[in-house]
Amino acid sequence: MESPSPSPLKAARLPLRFDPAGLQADLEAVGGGEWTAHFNTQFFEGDWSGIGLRVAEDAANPMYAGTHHQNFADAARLRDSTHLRAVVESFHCPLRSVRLLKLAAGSSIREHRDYDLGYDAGEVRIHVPVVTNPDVEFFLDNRRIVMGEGECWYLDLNLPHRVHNRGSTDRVHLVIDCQLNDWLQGLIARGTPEHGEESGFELFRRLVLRDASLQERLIAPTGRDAFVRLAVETGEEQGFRFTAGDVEAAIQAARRSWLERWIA
Amino acid sequence: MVGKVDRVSIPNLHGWMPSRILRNLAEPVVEWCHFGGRRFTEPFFDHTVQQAMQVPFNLVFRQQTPLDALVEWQAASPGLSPDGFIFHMSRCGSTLVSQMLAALPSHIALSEAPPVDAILRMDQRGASEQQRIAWLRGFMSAAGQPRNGESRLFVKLDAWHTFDLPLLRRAFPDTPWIFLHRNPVEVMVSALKAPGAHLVPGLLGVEVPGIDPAAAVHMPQAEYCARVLAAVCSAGIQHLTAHGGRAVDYDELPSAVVSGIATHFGLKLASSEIERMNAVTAFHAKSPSFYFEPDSAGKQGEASAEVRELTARLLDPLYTKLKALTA
Repeated sequence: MESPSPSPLKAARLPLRFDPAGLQADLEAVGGGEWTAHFNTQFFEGDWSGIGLRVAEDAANPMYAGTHHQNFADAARLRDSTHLRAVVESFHCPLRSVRLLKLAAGSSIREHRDYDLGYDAGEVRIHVPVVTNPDVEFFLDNRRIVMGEGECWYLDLNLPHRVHNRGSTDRVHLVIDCQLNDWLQGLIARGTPEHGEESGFELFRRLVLRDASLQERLIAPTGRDAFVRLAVETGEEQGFRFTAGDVEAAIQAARRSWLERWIA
Repeated sequence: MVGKVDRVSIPNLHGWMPSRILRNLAEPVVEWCHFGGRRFTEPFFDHTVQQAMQVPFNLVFRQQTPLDALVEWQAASPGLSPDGFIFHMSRCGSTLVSQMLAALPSHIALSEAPPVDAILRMDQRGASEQQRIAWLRGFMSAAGQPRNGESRLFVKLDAWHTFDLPLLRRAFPDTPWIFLHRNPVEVMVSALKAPGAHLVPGLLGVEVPGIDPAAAVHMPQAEYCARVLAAVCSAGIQHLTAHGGRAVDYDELPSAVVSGIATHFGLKLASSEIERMNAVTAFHAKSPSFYFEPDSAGKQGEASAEVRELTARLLDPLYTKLKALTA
């Protein structure tokens, strides 16, 4: 394989499509007891769990993507799931971990980056939504990407990202970790780049920067919690849709960029 | 860029402070921070900005504009023009001077504001002298908005800006200025304890007159330090002779601030104001929580043989000239 050229892509819908009904039938066959809570408990609120379909042989937790592991093996659940297996088998590249990840209704994953992945490093994570709903908000680099059931997505998860399932049904994605080869490079190159929509908070932010009276109002709180409450309340009054989590994510990103200001 | 000013559209920047300039981006930008009525009372510009950044609003609602917004904002909302510049050889009481000036509510005192340095260094990005002058005027005007009815603006520069004195004079020909100096052994001892950015070769990207950058890297630290201080003093002497600033020695502080410097900067101070300014001197200017103690004797005692030799050779002759220029 040629050395991968840097991919400026943030997200792309790949030219592969799967029948959501079949994938959902496989999902229904999964027993409730098979789901394991995600080990990364600091990074989510609510219920985030998964099933390892292809797991690192020596991993203690089947949810662990095991980016440092070498040997992966298909689990029984993958062998029993015709439609999920067909998706996995359509990837003509070396596969690492394969998981079903479930973000329950009302749950959210805080903004973070997955530093162990990267197009440049030859490690790419592919998402195939199995079941989702219109009120799932997935933000990548502060822009909302809407992924439909049965679609296949390349995402640069080195970038900050967060998810909030505001809907009343669970969101389950099939997540496939791939090693980049010529076939996958070609697939990504033929994908449709998606730039996403700005968050409601970003639109509100721009209004505030134009409006001195809103500035005066929002500058008053010195504490973080009071500021977040006031921002959400003011946003609602002005007709913007965003949550405390969105404001928290903006504060977190701003603090990080402020602390990193001396790093050229 | 200056020629395009009329096409730049700026937001209402009332209450906003140009807090830093990011000059390494493809298009350099000014970052603005909401200051409201905040005053520059901390020893350095950046300390005050950091205080402002503790307010959650300022983290999330920073805004960025092109540099030319400084020029446009000056046209829309002209602020104060500098009433006095403080140039100095570093570690010689310049922060005490700016802190005493900042003690009066009618004064704005900017101390080593990084945006000034960023604008001066824009020559490295191909900015002409005219552009830099326009941005400097715009920055001073924006920083010198009377947010609480202030009427005077004083600016303490970085030590190495003595090299940029001609440009600053062209930008602000009517602004009186001083060059502050101190017994060089004491400056050397203080500088070597915690070297400023200009005393580390190559760190600032400033060309030091008379020092070959390639040789600088191999120079012992004390020698480099002495040579930079010598270059700063030489520039000070050269411009004092040509442009009529006022030389002030550390030994004249703090009383010179309320007498000679005040007069030079056109201030007529009431006795209550003098009292207020003198109250600052009870504290160490850079760390206001420590009481100020004269430390000349201590610093003299700490000087190594190397420091004494370098000082005698490279700095003492210049110090003698500066003393002669000190009225």
